[in-house]
Amino acid sequence: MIVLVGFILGASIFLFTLIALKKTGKFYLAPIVTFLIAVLTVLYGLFKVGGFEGMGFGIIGVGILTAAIGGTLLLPFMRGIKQSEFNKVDKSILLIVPVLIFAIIGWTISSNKGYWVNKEGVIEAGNDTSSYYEVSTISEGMKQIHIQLGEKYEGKHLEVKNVKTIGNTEITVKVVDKGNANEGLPFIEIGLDKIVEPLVVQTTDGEVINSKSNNSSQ
Amino acid sequence: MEDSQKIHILSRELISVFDELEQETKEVVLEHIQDCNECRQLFNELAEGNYPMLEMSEEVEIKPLKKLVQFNHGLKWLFISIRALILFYILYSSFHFYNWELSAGAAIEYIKSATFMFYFPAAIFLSVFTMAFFTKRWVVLSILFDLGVLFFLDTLISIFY
Repeated sequence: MIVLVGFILGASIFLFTLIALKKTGKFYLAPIVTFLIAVLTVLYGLFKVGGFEGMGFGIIGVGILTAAIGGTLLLPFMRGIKQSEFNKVDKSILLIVPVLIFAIIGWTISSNKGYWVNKEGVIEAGNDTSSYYEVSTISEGMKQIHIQLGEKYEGKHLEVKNVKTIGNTEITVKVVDKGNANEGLPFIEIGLDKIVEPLVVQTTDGEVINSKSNNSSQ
Repeated sequence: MEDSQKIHILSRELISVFDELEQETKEVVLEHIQDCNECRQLFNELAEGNYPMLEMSEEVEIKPLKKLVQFNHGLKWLFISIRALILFYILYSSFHFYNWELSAGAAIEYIKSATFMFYFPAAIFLSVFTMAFFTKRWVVLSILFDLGVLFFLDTLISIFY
């Protein structure tokens, strides 16, 4: 999948460069530019990102490189393309390709929610149980936040309403009444790529939930 | 028309955009200037910043070369503005969304990611256009600047915070 995204990016860059270079007629630069971008992406992954995440950049780089190689092989057969002014089709391609690439980037960002629900359920109601959250570290430095609601929410359930991942982390949970009275106190465990302070945990009603350590020190 | 006369006419046009010319073209113009008093005088006047007054006919009808120069200048400013706008947005949003006292590391990480996700693709397209429209000097300058931003912007910001 990631290689395919890289290939689409590479093919788009190759096409864009090929059309833009109609002005100068230096079409041989199209595969060179695509190749250099592939190398740059791999170098960025190696030196700027590194680790497991950096490997993703390497795979994207391979996809772009494949497009560069494909473009190089196709170039001798593109005899119809000659140095000229841009026509309407060229102008459309020069506009559509950047829009397409930014759309792919937008889709990638929006499809990655940055959180997942590990567990949800209820615990038996105890004496003087109050609402709290607790943060722990799970695999590869990722975080888990355990949100527990107190006695006044007995019989309710918890759902994630929203997790703000740009800027400080803000988790908003929704308390849902499913009509199961005396079932217990709801909790939810949410996995997060990272937590950016100040962390805010709140319900959709605006009630701010404090961390367990804050609760116990009060 | 003789070749020398053709070179003279072209040189008169090109002197006004001398800085924008490729090295090879510059050398042709300079070679002509050495033998042509009229062009040498025009070259010196422009070098000193004394732009000669346009003739009436030139004011009414802008020559194609001047139109091209105006277009190129406009395009350069457009490319610079797009880069500046993206960088401004990345930096502004990092200061707006992040608490730098509590989470400077996350803010720097955001700058790094946003630079790769938004600045890098934009820089690719702008650099390709630069290849198509401008001289090698501009291509090299823009690529060096973009590489600097891509690899060192977060490091530069982290020095100050």
